[in-house]
Amino acid sequence: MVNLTINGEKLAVAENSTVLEAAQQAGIHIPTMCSHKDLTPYGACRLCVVEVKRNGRTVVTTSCNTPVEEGMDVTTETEEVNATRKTMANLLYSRCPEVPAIQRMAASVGLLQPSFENANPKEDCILCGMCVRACDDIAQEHVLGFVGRGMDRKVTTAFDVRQEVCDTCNKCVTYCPTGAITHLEAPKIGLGFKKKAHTWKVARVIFQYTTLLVFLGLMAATLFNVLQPLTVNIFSRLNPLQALVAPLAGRDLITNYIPALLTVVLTIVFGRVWCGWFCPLGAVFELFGRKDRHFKWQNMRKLKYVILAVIVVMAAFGGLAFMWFEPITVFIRGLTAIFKPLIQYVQLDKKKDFIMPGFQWFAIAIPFVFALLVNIIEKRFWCRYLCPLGALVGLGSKFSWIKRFVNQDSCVKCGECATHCPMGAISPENDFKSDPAECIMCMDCAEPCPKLAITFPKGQLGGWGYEFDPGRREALGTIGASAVAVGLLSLDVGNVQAAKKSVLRPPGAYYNDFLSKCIRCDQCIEVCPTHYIQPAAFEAGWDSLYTPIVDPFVGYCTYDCTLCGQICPSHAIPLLTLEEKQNYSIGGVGWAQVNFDTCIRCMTCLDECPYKCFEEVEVEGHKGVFPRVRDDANCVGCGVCVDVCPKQEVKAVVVFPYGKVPEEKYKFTKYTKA
Amino acid sequence: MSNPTANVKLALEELRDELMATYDPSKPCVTVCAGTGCCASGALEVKAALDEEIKKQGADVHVDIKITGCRGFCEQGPLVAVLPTKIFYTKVKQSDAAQIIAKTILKGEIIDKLLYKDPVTGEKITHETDIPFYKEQHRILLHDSGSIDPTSFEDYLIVGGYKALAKALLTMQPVEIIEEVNQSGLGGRGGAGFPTGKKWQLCRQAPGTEKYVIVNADEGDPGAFQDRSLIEANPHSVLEGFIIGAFAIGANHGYVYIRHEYPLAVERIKIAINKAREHGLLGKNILGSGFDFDVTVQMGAGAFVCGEETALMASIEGFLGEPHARPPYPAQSGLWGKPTNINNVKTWATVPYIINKGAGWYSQMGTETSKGTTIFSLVGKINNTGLVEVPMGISLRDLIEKVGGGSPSEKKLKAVQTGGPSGGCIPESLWDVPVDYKSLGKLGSIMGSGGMIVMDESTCMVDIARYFLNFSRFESCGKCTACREGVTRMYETLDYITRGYGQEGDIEQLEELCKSIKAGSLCGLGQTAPNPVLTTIKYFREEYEAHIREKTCPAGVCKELITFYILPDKCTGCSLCARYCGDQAISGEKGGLYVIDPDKCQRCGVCREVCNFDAVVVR
Ligand SMILES: Cc1cc2nc3c(=O)[nH]c(=O)nc-3n(C[C@H](O)[C@H](O)[C@H](O)COP(=O)(O)O)c2cc1C
Repeated sequence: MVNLTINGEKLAVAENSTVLEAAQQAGIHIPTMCSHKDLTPYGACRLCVVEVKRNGRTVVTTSCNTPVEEGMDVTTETEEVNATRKTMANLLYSRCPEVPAIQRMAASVGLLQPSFENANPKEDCILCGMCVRACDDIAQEHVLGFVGRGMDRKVTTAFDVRQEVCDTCNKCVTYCPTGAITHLEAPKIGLGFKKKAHTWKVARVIFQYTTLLVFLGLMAATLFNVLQPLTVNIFSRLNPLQALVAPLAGRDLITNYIPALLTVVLTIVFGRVWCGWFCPLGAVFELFGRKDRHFKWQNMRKLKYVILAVIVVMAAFGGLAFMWFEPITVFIRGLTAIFKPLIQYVQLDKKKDFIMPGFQWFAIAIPFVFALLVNIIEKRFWCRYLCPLGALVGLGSKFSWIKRFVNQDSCVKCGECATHCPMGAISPENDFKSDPAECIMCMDCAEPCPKLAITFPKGQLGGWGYEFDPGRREALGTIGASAVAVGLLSLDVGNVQAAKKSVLRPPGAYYNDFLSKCIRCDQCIEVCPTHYIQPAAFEAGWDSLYTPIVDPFVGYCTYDCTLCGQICPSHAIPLLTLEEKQNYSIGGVGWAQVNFDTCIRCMTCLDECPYKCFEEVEVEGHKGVFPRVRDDANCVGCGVCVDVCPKQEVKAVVVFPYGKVPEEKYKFTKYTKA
Repeated sequence: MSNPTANVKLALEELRDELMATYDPSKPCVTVCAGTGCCASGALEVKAALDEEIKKQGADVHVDIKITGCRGFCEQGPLVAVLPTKIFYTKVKQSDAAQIIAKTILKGEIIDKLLYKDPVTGEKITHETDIPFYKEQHRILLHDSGSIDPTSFEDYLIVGGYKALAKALLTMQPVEIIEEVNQSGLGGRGGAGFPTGKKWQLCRQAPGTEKYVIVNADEGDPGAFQDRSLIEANPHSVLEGFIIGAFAIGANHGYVYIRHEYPLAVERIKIAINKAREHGLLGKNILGSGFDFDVTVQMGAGAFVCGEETALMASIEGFLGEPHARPPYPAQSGLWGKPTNINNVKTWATVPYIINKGAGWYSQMGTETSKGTTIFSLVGKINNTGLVEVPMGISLRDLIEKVGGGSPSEKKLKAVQTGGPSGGCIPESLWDVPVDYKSLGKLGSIMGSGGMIVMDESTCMVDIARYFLNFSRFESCGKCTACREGVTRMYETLDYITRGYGQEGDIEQLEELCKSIKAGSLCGLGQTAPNPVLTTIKYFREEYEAHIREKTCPAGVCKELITFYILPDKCTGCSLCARYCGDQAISGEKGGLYVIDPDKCQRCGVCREVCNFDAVVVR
């Protein structure tokens, strides 16, 4: 043991220790950028200068390579030492003005601005020689070295020839204090790592946009009715949020959602890959917007958990009022609102006949437009703050087997990864780690990392304990919001119950627990060839926003079509055979009734009704013979009669929901031809 | 050490006796200085011409001829001296050969036009020793430079060479040798003046049997050429001291580290080593003393920093020539991790004299703290540039004005830069200080390897500082931040100042930088690189301020800050300046007044040089 004094404190340290080690042992911090416990001392950065008194001589010298001596008296901060240290910091800062590690070091000695300008402000190598020593001492490859004198000095391989071993060895990378190591021109250190990371990234991008294209293809197929409906709704059926809430609210095992199990498995294994690899809406968000964090209220990320929880709680109470916030439905509705009329217009022979849909139609795209708009604030704003599906898979990702991992031994906190993160998931405050619930496994951060510190290893535990974990406040928020929603519904505020009964639903829905199953995706509207199915606003109650209603004034139900039932992913519109749909007690929409006051007795309805429901009657107080739906008819409310009725402003025949058919106002008698 | 051969006459001494017997000191000998300076001005051609004339005139029997190493008075080369009379001819041309042989050798006449003319008195001086340049010197190391053929082992023996080696190896114990060197007060001539005896002792005492000694002949300072001249002139003296030192320290292998830009010196030291080996002065059992020693010549690639001992050793080992921290000192862990002693060429060369004449003789020369003589290369704005050896303690003024002969022009001398890029500028007002390690150190300069650049009024001190820093920034190895970045930043600041971009606060910032770089640098290069800046700021602050505040260069050097101007009352309208001006910046009527267009003027100064009426001035 050697006895010495550091800052007046006596201590004994092992022989062959350096002054720096002795100080560290005494808990005294001395800044340094070129020393590391694994490597032989070198003394390049000169930040670790201290004042040493020995044998009556006082010198300022570097502590990292000064061995301790018996009776040595060390002072780690004197006026001269501090001035020298600050100058060294200044010189390094002036050399590499943009390197965060240097900026922090400079700030730690009280220097906020470099005094000199560097012709190459992008310079990030401080020539500390750690890589060279790591190559010699640790890797024992001896391929890295210095060349050039003075300012021309640089780290490179012999004759600037790239060495194969530098592709994969990467032992030096950990030691580099600035991240310059992988930017060295000739050695191309970490090329293997970067290539791999790049391949993954490219694979991901290809996958993601393929998914988007498939989605768009399916949308087109739906709009043109060319594919079997069972395949076009696959994105809904893979969707774990829909798969969770629809059966929950509908109290029914919906077999259509079995594929969602695949997503669950993928999430548990790979994390939030749904958002980064599959979600077509996410792919759209990737196309523009700013990466990293810009929005002031980052904590609002927890809002998505509240939204999710409210949706789930509501479902437990049998309601799906907010499923219009589910991203796949948002996207489908957004595209439907635009493309359905567009296609109709294109297909029309006489463009004059095109009727521009009203606001209520385009209103279904509002969430989609909103999501695109907020994407300008931050890329994937929707995914970060609002998406309930993201929240669900995010929660699952907290337990995932594979997670993003930042090697803290290597990380120099340069923040490069954060600038590439489309989710802003990387936390500058928390050592550039990311909440697994925020990370969408896009892997964009791995390649730019100059320290090759970012990997996606298996078997990572500990998904909890991050800055955006949902907590008590979110739980309270959920309880509050759900209570209000459930309360409003059960208290029937806004006469919701009555409103519900006043609308017509697609075929068979009347006989179903429709609102507890409808996930508001509006694919039925999209697929309906005659525009018979239309989106609801608030006419069926506020909880029925964007649910499908049928509107005989716009279209009619094609006699031999069951597409809406086939496409409905949650069986809210039951999957019926043609015979079932044509049977009013199974697949009915409502009942048609002729208004004798306005009917002009043209009898077109009687002729056109595919179900032959009409009879001829004479009506009290009215002249002539009128059409009327027979009491024993199989009127499914297909709306053909309404469609063909020549009265324009006020149709003479109306389809009413079952149970809402009014009493006949006038007495009538069946007419028999004389 | 009892030696069986001690009383047997050494072969070496027998050879010496033999040589002395045939040697006739009165026989005339024409010596042609073939130092690098004289060679450059045609010494070898002169030698050839002399050879031819000797043959032609049939003078072979009457005269010897040889080339010697540098005589130091490079300004006046090629130099030819006739021994033993020491008739001294300067600026000799090939065409003078015939006369020298015909008149001086054969008839004993003196050729007046080849004699040196004292610039002060105008008097012609016949003998070397009467020339003020030599008169004021005290030549010990350089004593034989002008009389022996550096490639001749025999010549060295005749002047008493290798006597000291025999004495040391056969009659002295290593500790006695070290004690003798210690007593002599010899300090390292590599620049720092560390007591040589003490250094040897440390190395001798270091544990281990494998030790190394090194001759540091890297000499990288601009303007310094003493080591090279000494090796070129008298390589055996270095070698002799080296072997004695190795014996004292207990090293069996030595390296001569010499830069490859010195091919002549490399050649001469190699010849000397081979000759010494032939005569059993290197190799096994030297002079029967039982001591083994051999030498390798290692060429350096010419980096200034490789003169630094740790960098030098790294370079020998085949690594990048960059210094490492001390401790461990070379005496503990040097070359190949073994105890190593490294000394400058001059230090080694001094040793034989100390052994021969004794520590007392040596230590009576010099000052209290610095003993002996030292060699300077005097250059700059003085009459007698060249290599001089003076006792320590001579005043700067004597050195510059007496030995150097003062200013060659009307202009007043202003300062002297000692120690090259690592040293400082000492103003004329302080020239009465004695030249030794301590006094120069106090003034902010160093002895260094002995470069001395004399400057007059026409030298801009900011520009000088910039010049040296430019050297240092390129010669910095780049290992440590302080030196690599700091020196560059200082250079940049100085460069801005000389170009008129200086700002208030720059001087203070420079001082701050200087202090930190001195404290924070790993090796001597960085620790001393700020000296030129610090001393020029200290002694010539007003010049800095003029550059920064008034944007003028008082000395008229910094191009961006000066304008050339033709004085109307002196201009005769001869048009000479206008014809020489490469930029067509001068216009006027022949016979009338000429004017310079400052926008076109590139400030090359040719107009001032050609003007016969001193009409062109700098403002
Ligand atoms: C940058 C630098 C350059 C040096 N160059 C030389 C040199 O050219 N020749 C030399 O003898 N010493 C040089 N030295 C000094 C050596 O490091 C060392 O002190 C010297 O060789 C010791 O010899 P001495 O004790 O005989 O002086 C230099 C030192 C530094 C810091």
